[in-house]
Formats: sequence, C-alpha cells, structure tokens
Amino acid sequence: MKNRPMNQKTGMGRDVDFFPNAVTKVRPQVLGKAGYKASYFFFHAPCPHPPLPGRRIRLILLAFMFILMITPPAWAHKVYVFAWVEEGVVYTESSFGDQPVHGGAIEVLDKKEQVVLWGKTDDQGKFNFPVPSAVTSDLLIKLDATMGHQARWTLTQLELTADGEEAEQGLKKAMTKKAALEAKPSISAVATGIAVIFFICGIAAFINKKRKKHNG
Amino acid sequence: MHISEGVLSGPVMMAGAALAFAGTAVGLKKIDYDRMVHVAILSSAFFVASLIHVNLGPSSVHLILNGIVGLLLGWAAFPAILTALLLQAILFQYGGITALGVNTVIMALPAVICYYLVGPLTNRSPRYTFVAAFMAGAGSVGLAALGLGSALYFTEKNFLEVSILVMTANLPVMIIEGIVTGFCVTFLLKVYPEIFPKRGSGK
Repeated sequence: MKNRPMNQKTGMGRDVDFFPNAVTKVRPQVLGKAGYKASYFFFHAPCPHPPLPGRRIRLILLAFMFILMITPPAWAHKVYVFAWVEEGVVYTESSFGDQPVHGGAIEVLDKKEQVVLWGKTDDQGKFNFPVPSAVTSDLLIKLDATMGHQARWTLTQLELTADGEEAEQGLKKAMTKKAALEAKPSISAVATGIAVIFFICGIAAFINKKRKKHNG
Repeated sequence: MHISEGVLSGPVMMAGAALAFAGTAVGLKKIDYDRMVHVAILSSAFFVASLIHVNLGPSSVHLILNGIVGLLLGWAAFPAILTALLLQAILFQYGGITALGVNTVIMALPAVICYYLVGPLTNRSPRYTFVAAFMAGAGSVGLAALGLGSALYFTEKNFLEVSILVMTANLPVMIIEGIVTGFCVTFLLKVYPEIFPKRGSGK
C-alpha cells in the first residue's frame, strides 16, 4: 500500500523490495531526508535510487548495539609484566589484565642480554628477587606467558640503586605507570574502534561508487 | 590468540605480513561493495568478541568469532579481520603491530577455509545447518590454534607441545564458539538469509 505518491526526482516514497524475501516499504518520514540520503548511500551505494534499509537490517543493527551495551567492558587481554624496587627487593607482577599469569617464566637480563636470573611467577602472578649485588646496568625483565604472550619491563639502574626520598619518588612514578597498564579498555575505546571500522567501510563503498560512475 | 610484540623472528613476521597482504588483496577484490555494511558489522563483531573472556583453567582465553566472519564474508574476512586486529592492537594493546600480519593469517585463513568447507553445507535443514555452523565455529578456532603453534614453531621449536597447549586452552572456546556460531547462523538463515554470500557468483 502506498502512503504517498513517489517523488520522481529522489525516488522517495516508492515501494521497493530491498530484500527479495522481505516486504519492505520505503518510509522516508522515519529517517528524514538527510537520514534517507545517508542510509541510501551507505546501504546500497551503486543503486541510482537506493531504497531505505529494511526493517530487518535495522533490527539486526539494534540487536548488535544491545549486545555491545551489555558486554562488560572490563575484560582485557593484554599481557604485561610490571616491576618496582622497594628496599633492595625487586617485586614483579605479571597479568593478563583481569587475571594473573600463573607459572609464567620470568627472565632477568642485563644490558648485554646475559641472563642474570630466572624464575616462575606464583599463583598471584608475582615473582620477587633481591636486587643483584653487582648491578652495573639497567635490568630487562622478560615475561613469557606461553602461547605467544610475551611482555617486558625495564628497570633503570637509577631505580635499582636509589634510596631515601629518591626511591620513594621512583616508586610513586612506577605506581602511576602500573595504574595505566591496568586500565581496562573503556567504552569509548570500543566505540572509537567500531566507528573507525564503519568509517573505513563507508569510504570503501564511496570510492567504489565513484569508480563505477566513472567507468560508466 | 594474539601473538605479542617481539616474540616472532624476522622471517616469520615477514612471511606472515606477505601472506596477510595477499589475502587482503584477494579479499578486497572479492568484496561485494554493495554489502559493505555487512563487512562493517562483522568486523566490529570480531573487534568486540575478543573482549569477552572465558576464564576457565589456568589461562584466560576469549571468543574469536572467526568462523562466523568467514562463513558470512568469504575472502572479505581478510580485510575485515586485519582492520579489527589493527584497532585492537592500537586501542587495547592486544598483540602487537609487528605481529599483525601473522595474527591476521592465523585468524583469517581458518575463516576462509571454513567458508569453502562448511559454507556449502549451511543451506539445508535447521538441524543440519546448526551442526555445520558448529563445526565452522569450533573448527576455525582449532585451525587458528594450529596456525599459532606453527608460527611459534620457528621460535620455540616444539610445534606439537605448543599446539596441544593452545588447543587445550582453547577447547572451551571452541565449544562455546561452536554453539554461538550455530545459533547465529540458524537464526540469520531464518530471518535474514540475504546476508549469506551468494555462491557461484564468484563473490
């Protein structure tokens, strides 16, 4: 059933079967002219008078958004090892973000890539060792959490040998870095990623449309 | 399933990058530009799926969803997964930029394999389709684990051990992903069959 006569210039208001199986009625009044043109371009680029997306695709998009909204954003899956010095002891913590690394292999290397010592993280992802007595360079702490998960952390010589106020300040700095590492992916990061994906796809569709026009 | 920065040797990274480049080129050629929005939706789904974690056993694994991406996109899975992985590396520090090529091949190649092996089986009775989609979902994760094992072979030299470790860690994911893919595909086939790539048209 037609609600209004078709506009010859824009093709608005006509009955179109966007999906062969779906009964889809073009209803420009739902999205407005700008929305109509945008969806027009995005969903069915090469068609000279593309119809509005059908109810189904809108439903699927809505369902997708809903799933996004209920997804807890608190699950990270980066790997990191973090180390700090406190009173002559080097403390390390290894984590997948939401979960400590059990039994991850820790290797401590000096500047010449020589292994100074090694060990395994405990159930809390922790591994501690006293500052090696003959420290002459920065220490590189390498974590191998199996399955291609690796991370590293550098302790500078200054951090290793500092004491008193200097050490306290170093510790403070280290803790800020730790907080940044532990930060979970935010909703805005997720939204940014999705926006970028849609943007890239839109550009691809646009370029293709231009090319098709150009080729006749 | 994401290989971190600095794990792989140079030649492996180069080989991965070359393969990913080739796959992406084929994908861009075969993409149906009229269905760009499907590519965007599936790429986003893949992007988000890695945030959903399954905390079982000693290690933490996440959904991958490469099976359904492959079933619905075919070769276009390569550019879709590449984009999603790049954004995951930048925004969430998953994996690494240098390992991007290898990670793309590990996840996109099983997707394309599933498209060819399981795709033709999905257009039958719902029960049959569910089983086929389950195979696609579980199989693509299993193949990805194998790929990960072989990529690590060159640095760790114990292919079997690593592959078995990855497989066992991802076993729950395989099962969950199989079920998720099964439900998604049967549901989509019922309400929106046009989303499946047309076969025989070269797309």
